[in-house]
Amino acid sequence: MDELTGGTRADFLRKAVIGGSATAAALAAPALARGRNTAKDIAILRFDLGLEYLQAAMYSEAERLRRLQPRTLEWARVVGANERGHVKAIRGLLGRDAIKSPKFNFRGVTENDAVFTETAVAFEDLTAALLKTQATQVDSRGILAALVSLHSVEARHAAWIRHIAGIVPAADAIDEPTSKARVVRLVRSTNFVTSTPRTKGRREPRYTG
Amino acid sequence: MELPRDDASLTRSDLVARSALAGGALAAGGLLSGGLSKPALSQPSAAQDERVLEWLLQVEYLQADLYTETERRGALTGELRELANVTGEQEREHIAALERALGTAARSKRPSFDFGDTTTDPQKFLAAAVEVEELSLAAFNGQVPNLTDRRILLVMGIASVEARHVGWVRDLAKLNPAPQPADAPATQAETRAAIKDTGFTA
Repeated sequence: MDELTGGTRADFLRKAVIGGSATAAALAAPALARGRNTAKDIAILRFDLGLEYLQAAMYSEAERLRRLQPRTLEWARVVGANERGHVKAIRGLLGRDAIKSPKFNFRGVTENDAVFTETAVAFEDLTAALLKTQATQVDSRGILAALVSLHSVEARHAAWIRHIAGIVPAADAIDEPTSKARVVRLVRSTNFVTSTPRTKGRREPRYTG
Repeated sequence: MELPRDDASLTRSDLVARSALAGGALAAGGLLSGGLSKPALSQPSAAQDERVLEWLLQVEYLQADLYTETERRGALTGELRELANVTGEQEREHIAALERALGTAARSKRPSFDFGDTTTDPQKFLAAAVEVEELSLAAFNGQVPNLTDRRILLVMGIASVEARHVGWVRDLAKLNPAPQPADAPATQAETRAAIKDTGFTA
């Protein structure tokens, strides 16, 4: 998540080291918890986990505050549950390599229907686009299959929030991929990420990118 | 034209990743679909890419024909008409893109369908659109892991739009557009059965 807050690489390496909070995920993925993912796949999944934490937190807060229009609120309720499901699934894939959630401040966005909707459209469109790029990058075909099954749910979310907003749900015949850098820029521009977890490391991080 | 059904070429780490996701589904209180545990994975190759693209072309023919006939008969109004026009044009573009990718390898015979009054009855059309979009999305998702990297972006780029169609048409039908955190992939055999179940095949 440092990439999302602009921390230095040294900061990233210090913060990326994992604590012992992944017990539930380790139960779900005992073999992966012993570290069978490649370094590249871990980096990709960690980035996705950070994004899912962000989306899950934003939509969950909107659901809790209940300040949005009824259709948007229903979207936040359903999609928030899905994003929390994605967090659990990706934590399961990462096992002990999972990162903790950063802290967020949504700066009123979860209480403003127009701004919430605009932000949600951007997040969902870009997440679906990013997952396409990552699908060509992961080493494991099993992780590829997992990303594919999450990818189309993000596209469903995107179409749904666009429909609510009165924007055409499917603007192009073929959706294009996007780069991680573009997603990082979007997230930084929101200033939603206020701090990343400072977990004391137990071992050397495997992520070196 | 059969696509891989066994897991003989899967590496151990692939199997572990898959079981992890299935395990994650249990940990998430059954939120994730059980279909995730059975993607039809096999070693990608250029020859397999061709078989996959040929197969997905068959799925696109069904979608394109449903919307094109609806548009031609002109009985629907309002947003349903817009849906048929927009999605119809996009499905025809998918066919063109798949045929371009196949080049001279394209040899699919275009099947014919009998939609009856589904293309003029708003309620029947809406139900059919939900059914056809869902089965198409699952078919595309099921094949991505079988592709070489060269073809993944094309097929995911189309799958993404199928997912948008699903979200749109389900919202119109007052169904939850995204009822599960993960979409289950379908094998070729499962999709064939789902297409047969539509009753549209001649």
